Amino acid sequence: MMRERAVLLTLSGLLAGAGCSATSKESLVPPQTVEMDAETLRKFQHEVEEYVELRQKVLTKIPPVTTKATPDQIAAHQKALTEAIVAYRKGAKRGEIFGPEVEAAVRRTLHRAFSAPDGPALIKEIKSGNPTVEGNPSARDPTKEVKQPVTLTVNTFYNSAAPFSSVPPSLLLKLPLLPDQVRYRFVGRALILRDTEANVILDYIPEVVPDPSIPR
Amino acid sequence: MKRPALSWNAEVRLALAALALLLAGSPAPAQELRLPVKDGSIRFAVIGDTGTGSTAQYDVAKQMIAFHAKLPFEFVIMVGDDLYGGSSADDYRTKFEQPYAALLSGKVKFYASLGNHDNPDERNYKDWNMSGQRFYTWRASPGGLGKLDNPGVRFFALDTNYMDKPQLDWVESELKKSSSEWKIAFFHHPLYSSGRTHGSSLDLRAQLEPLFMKYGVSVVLTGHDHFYERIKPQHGIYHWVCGAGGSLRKGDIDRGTGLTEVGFDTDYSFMLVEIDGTDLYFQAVSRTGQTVDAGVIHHEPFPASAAPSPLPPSPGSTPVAPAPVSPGPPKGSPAPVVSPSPSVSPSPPASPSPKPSPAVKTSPTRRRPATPRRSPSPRPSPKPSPTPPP
Repeated sequence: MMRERAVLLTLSGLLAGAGCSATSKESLVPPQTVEMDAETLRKFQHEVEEYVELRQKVLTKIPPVTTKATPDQIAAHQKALTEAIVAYRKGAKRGEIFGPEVEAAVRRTLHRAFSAPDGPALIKEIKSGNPTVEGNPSARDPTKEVKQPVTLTVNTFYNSAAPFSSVPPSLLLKLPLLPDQVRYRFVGRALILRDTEANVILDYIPEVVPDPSIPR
Repeated sequence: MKRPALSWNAEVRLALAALALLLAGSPAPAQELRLPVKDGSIRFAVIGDTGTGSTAQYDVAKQMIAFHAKLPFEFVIMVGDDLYGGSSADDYRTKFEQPYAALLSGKVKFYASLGNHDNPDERNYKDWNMSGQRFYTWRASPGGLGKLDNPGVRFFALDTNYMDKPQLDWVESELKKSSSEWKIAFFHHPLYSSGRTHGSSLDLRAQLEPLFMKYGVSVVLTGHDHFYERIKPQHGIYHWVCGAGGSLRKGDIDRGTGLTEVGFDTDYSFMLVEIDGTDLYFQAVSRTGQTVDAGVIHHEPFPASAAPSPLPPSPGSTPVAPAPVSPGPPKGSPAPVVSPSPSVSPSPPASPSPKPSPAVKTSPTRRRPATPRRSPSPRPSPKPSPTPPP
């Protein structure tokens, strides 16, 4: 059995081929440093790549959207993309992308970040826009807010009326870099993986934010 | 004959209702413009947290339209939360296209950044000119593309919902490349805010502020907190929160942060900006057309920094607070990323910087004509030259 070994992996070099520029000595931008052993990281990247390939396949079967689209075109494209992804991934289960080793590594990373001196500031930013904490201004009285629930289930719709949590940049620099089609978000205390444009929850890890004041 | 009280009251109510309908149907009368309307200047409006489709959003839009007649601004900066509660075709119509219809038909362009209530696919919407990008840059210069010798004003629209490494690298690369005299960044989450609900985004600040300081960003426009706030200059950078274009959190400004230069959290608002050479004039306007803040900041040729001076209030206008120079981060503000200089000159970041230290100097009060003049023969309008991210 291979002994799991946590290594500090600087991804800037690995990701250069994926369009991410290497961190130069002059740069003020910190490097992408993911505390995850190489094999676990490779597995996670493989799962994400598989999803992106599936998504590409879906895109060939639905009407395209241009970068000068009308509201009707955008809405139709999003609906078609969302429905097709849910159909293609029918039966998908939690942990298929965030496998056990990946989940453990992500939990360690987040625990370390939230336990650091600036942990409370990170949690404050995660609450911002988090759909269990923040609602939408009401159209009748925009000084009042109305919450929009999000059901935390794999391969279900992310309520299109709900806001998105902030994901602090320093956390993004510690988590594995994702392609443009997929995003990390927080819903309540869970970290989710969501398609960037389709309203689909692809996977999630529950109870990663250690703040009981955040509703589940 | 004495009228029954009920009937008389009913008539009064009817008359009031008719008057209200009349007023609602026409743009609200604009109050006084406090910007100079100079020939060849770059003019724009700033709105944030607009997309509620509420009466308040429409009221603010009417004020923008009324002011556009006095200051024909070329474009509008949107600092996010452009559509609340979904992005159906109907949402685009009732929360954007209808309230700003008069501006859109008048060829005013909108440049959006996305907030935490916006679906990322909104970047494909034609009228937000994002070219499918979640972060992008363009340059506005007097005279348009033909005047390539004019460094103009470069805008950087960022996606602070997801500030990952590729975007941070892009920000650094684009800021480094730009030789524009004015570099203006706009995005949703404020690096500095006195909002009780959200407040300053400290983690985001830790990543972006060193880049802004090193590469000469002068102005940062944000939203997220639902009010208007002009922040005391931080390390020579002017920060605004313009998050009350359609949403409002009354009384949400915490006056104890020490960050606020001018704050307005009792009604909805938007901001007008005019840039003429090294001067940036601004005017924040409420839903009722009242001026809630106005002034000018002066930008010495790069790398020297800006210094504000108040515009003298004009007769009949709402007095606005002056804009004194702030020597550095105020007491009680969250810990800055870099150490402030003990003098009146904000220090550069602790990180290596090839640029000389930007100096804020207390410039003498700049004079302007008591009555702003309309430009008799406007120069060609500023034309943006988009540069999408790679």
